[in-house]
Amino acid sequence: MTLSIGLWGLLVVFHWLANRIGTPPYLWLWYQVSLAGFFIGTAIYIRQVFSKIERLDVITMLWRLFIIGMVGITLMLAMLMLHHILDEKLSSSMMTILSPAFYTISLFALLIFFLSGVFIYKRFILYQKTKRKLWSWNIFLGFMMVTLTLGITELFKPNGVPDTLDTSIDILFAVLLLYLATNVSWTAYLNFNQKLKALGLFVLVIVVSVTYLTALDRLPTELDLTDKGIGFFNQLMDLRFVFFIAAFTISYSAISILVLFFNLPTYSIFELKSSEIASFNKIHQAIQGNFNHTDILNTLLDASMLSSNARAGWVEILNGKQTSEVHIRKGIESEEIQALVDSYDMLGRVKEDRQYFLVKNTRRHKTFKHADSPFRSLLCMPIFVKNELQGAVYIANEMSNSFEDVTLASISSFVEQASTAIENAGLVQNAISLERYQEQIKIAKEVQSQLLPNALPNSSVLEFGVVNATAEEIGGDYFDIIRQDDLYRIAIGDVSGKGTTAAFYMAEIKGIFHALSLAKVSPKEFVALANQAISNCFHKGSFLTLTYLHIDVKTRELEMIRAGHCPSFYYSAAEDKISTLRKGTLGLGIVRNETFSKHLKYSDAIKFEAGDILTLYTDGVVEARNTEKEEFGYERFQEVLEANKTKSAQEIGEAVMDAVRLFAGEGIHDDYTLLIIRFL
Amino acid sequence: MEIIEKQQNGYYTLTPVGDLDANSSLEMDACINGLLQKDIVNLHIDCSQLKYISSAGLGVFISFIDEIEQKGGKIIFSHLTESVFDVFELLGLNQIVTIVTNGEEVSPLFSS
Repeated sequence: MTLSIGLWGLLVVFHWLANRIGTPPYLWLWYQVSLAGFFIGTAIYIRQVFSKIERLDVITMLWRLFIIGMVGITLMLAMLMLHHILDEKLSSSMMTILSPAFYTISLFALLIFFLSGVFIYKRFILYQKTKRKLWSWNIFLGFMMVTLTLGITELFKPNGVPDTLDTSIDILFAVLLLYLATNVSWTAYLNFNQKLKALGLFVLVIVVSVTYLTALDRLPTELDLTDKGIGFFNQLMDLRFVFFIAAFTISYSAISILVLFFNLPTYSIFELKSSEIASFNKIHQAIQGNFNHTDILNTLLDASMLSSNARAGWVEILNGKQTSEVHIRKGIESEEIQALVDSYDMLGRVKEDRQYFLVKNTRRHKTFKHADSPFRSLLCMPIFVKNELQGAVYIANEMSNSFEDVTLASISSFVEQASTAIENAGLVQNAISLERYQEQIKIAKEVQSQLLPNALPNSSVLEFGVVNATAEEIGGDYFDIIRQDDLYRIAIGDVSGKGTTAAFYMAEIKGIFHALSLAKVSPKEFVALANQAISNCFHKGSFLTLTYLHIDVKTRELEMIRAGHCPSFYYSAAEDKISTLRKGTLGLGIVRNETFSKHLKYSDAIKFEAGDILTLYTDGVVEARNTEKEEFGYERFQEVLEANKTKSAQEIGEAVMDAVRLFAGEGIHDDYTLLIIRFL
Repeated sequence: MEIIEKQQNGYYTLTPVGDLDANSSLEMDACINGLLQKDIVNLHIDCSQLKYISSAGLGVFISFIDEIEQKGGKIIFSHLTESVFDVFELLGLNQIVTIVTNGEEVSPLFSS
């Protein structure tokens, strides 16, 4: 910039000198160099200014160009006024210096304006840069340089360049200009308002350009400059370079105006497409699972209405297999929807056809015409998730035949996207609830594991062994041992059914067992009271099978009642024989009145000796089935016990379960508990 | 599981076919409940085609015993296979319900 201004100053000085002392040859050379430097320097400076701008904003750029032009025009007017004011006051000799200076300042403004035009339009032309565009631009730039050099030479050696060259330069310029000016791809990315603004600004730029050209034509006269007075400066206007940059700016503006003007009607399609893409994006985001159903359906309806240019629409979602409800509606009243929906079973139709249902004109349709609806076009696009009809999007318009095939395709793809989103949202929801459920089960399992004794009260007389597992996360098997001095109260039971309900009942049984243990009742009394308690607590149809026993380590006696539970095995070391203990009564909670005591008559009483083994268990052990659906059964059980009778209580328990697992493989589907008591 | 219902002279015969476990017990529950709603209180359960019964399956019958007795009806089981009888016996159910070995004994029991 400084260089340009410096060179401009130099030019003024040269001019003055030339007027004063004539034109010696050495001055010519310097004059030429400075002139070329002035043009090129200004051009480089302006080029830099506009290539620094990173984001191409057509409107802002055009505004700048217009403002640059207006500032230049204002400058010109200021020069004119200054001339008029000073003309009266100053001597004519002063004016011969000042007037050319004013003139050159105006020229400078013109040059800056048109160069700005060139380099701003360069950005437009190179929008979405390709190698070819860049090449043609560079050729254009090189061509301009050549023109400038030639022009300046010509300025000082008139007729030095043959006419044929002049003509060919003009033709080449026209060709290049035409080629570059067709690069108006940026227009496609403007919306309607931006296009209107750009149109206006281009017109203003042309107006400004024309103003400059006329002003320059008239300025010498206005400034009272004689031909001699302005000297070479006047000839500057004849420079082809100046003409070319002006022609370029004006032509490109004019072509842009035409392109914008003819593109105005198509704006809606571009806008539609870009909003469709935006809708797609929104639905895509929904697929990530951050949206709920209403958001997805809202987006779907908006997008569908937008792409079909429809005034009304609604989304109907199936509640159960038969009923459905309007989830969202836009631009239409509930009654109007009802009238249309009542006219024809559209949901049923789309479910049957598995594709959309379109009414081109409701007034001519055999059933819709009775609805007397203001909406003539009606589209019902079904939403299928996993092949199940979930509902439908309805789009209605007041004009008949208003849905094109392209629109139907768009809506159809929206629906597909949305149904994926809905499916995903469902999956996420399921995963969340499953996780929550598993978390709760985990807690339940922890609580339950605390219901079973965590330490076995082994003593010098009794040695316990326990193996216990649940088929599901939580089970219904229960066992407990309470020691009260010399008396051990032992219970093993199984609640009918499996899973959560059984587990809750198990917790109740623990309460009952511990409460009744405090009462220090006999086994028979215990069973009677427990039956009463369970009858009050358990749901009808649920019951408990229980084996309850007392072991007195002092008298070495045990008394046992089987209440519907699996019979226990007793190994007598003295007889070296395993017997089955089955005396007892019904399961608890089956007979819920006082008649229960009728069934409570018998119990097993044994005086135990060292080496005897009592095996208590739940039905999961004997009912484990192999692949042939055969049960493990009592016989195999006894065989394992027989084979392991010399081992410790825990080892016996594990030996039994090993045998069961070997037999059933994966076939253990129930909870199982083994409680082995070895008498010492 | 499938339940064959047959109206007899003065009672209803239900024949469960297959396994009566936790899942199919709901079906049996609905079936008996339906009959009791219609004041049919004399029930004959023909177990000839019952292969397996779980504790939950038994629970269904147990849950109706009181109601049937209160309404002055009876529930009689017949043709129990060995394994099914074992389950009845283990639980002590044989002490509170009538179990007969063949179908001819059923009818007189209801009329008495």
